Amino acid sequence: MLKKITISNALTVILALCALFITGLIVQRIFSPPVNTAQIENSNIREIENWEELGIENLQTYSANAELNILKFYDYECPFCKQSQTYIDEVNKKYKGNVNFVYVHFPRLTHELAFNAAVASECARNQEVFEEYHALLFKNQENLDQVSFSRLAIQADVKNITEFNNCIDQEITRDIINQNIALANRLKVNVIPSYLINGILISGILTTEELEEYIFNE
Amino acid sequence: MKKFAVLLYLSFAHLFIQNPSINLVRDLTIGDGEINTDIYFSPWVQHLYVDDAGNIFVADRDQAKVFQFSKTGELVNETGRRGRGPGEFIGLTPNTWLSGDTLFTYDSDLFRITSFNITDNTVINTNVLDLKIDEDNIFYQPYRLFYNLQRKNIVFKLTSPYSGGTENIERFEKFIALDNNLEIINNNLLLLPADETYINDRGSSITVSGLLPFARKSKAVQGIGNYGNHLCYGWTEDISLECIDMYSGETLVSINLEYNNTPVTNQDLNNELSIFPESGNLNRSEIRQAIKHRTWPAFDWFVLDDVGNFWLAVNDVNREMYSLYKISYEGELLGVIPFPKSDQIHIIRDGFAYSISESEMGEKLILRYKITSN
Repeated sequence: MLKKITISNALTVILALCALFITGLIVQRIFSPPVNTAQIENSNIREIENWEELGIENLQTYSANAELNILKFYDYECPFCKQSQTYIDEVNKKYKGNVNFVYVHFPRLTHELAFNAAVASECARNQEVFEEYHALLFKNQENLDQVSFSRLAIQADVKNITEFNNCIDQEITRDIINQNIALANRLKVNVIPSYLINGILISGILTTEELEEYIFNE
Repeated sequence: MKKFAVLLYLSFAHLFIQNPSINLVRDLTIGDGEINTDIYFSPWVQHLYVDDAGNIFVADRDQAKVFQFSKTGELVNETGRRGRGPGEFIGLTPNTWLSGDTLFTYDSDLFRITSFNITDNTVINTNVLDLKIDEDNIFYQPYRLFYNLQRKNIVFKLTSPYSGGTENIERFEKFIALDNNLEIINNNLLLLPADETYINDRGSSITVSGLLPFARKSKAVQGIGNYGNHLCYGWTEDISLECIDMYSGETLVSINLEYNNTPVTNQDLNNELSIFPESGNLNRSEIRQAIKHRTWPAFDWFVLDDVGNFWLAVNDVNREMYSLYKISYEGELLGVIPFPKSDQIHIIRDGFAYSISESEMGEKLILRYKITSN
């Protein structure tokens, strides 16, 4: 009998501890935003001081009308950047207008075609077909060394192929990419893809759900 | 407006009558799949070189190769491949030169001059530049190389960055001369204003958004053959050109032609602005404001041929075509012919003009024209 009571008490204590633990988790979830939690737990997440002063409003795809601008640092030869684009596309579909992705070129040195691809994408942007061209570059990622940037431009429906071709070798276009690289270096981005969301720099792929988490935490 | 255009045209009509005998007839196309079925050129093909035998050399940054074509257009050699090792390229620039069997190339990303023996494609020499040109806190980067085959000396075109600072700095293109051992012999061979750009300086940093429509640009080209020591330049506002010696910097020739810039009509403006986005940083209405009261640049490009004539692509009232001016070394206008705006001539030698144009697929084409005159 005594043994039965002892077991029962022990079970009650265990259950009470479990309840307490779960309650604690819930309380923590309510009062502590996931970004901060992640910041403590994950070294891939960093808070950037004075991020509002970086001049991101001048970046090529920044939108003043969007509720949230998410910066994505990437290049066109990085497979994870391609993979991450599928999640971005899903978020774009769901929250179009409210969430805007600002694409920041960060071609890695080991990706020898990435700089050229970035330049070509900026020339496509000059003619309002950046998104189409951006998608085509990722689609052709595996054979980027064989692809003709001009043919892609025609596929993307550029308005003036001569302007596109002229733009390619202009120093000004290279400078746009160099500005992007300078921003990434300033932020000490060392992984692509990386994201800057409201002053929080996150390294690595974010899935649709993770992106949504940051969006709703905004 | 039409009447005005006609009047303007008539005011220049005497130029067409002056020497109607010059004629350019296309006799070779490379890159359209006709002669070499699998050869295409990327938009990075912006220049070419032609040797004494009529071989054509085309450097393509995107394909990290220099292609050599025979006089009849067949591919005879490919030099280089992508990479960072010896004989490899990341940022192959369009200008190449041939001296005997030695091909000179420059990689503006690796800051490296590589010379090859084109008979077996072996690397003869690799020189990595250690140029630190920093003046008034403007860091200049070597962007283009010109090689003086006569004196074996090099001229670098260096550019200051468009942005990156916190204030809008005035930009320049700086030319310096180096000897064969890459020692600087003239740190200030030439200083030209940079092309006119549209810069968005809203917010706390500066963003370069593009060239202004109808922008004035600095144009610098090298002569060929006996004029290979000539570095010639002009600002596209008017028809004033000057050439200096690539080694000494001494002024060799100056020419000046009277020219009235063609006004920009609303139609011109709308055509030019139509490719820009409606919104965003590159704002159409802001650009429109920035360029109102503009005129067309006097010319878009020029070359100095192997007998000392200048050929200028002049913008006049005919919006569809250039008026190609042929001007003697002494500055006399020898003739004017219409020339398509889709083409740009880079070399004129031995009675042929070599230009770069585009295919319907948007890829670059190398065209050769036979120059005939009665």
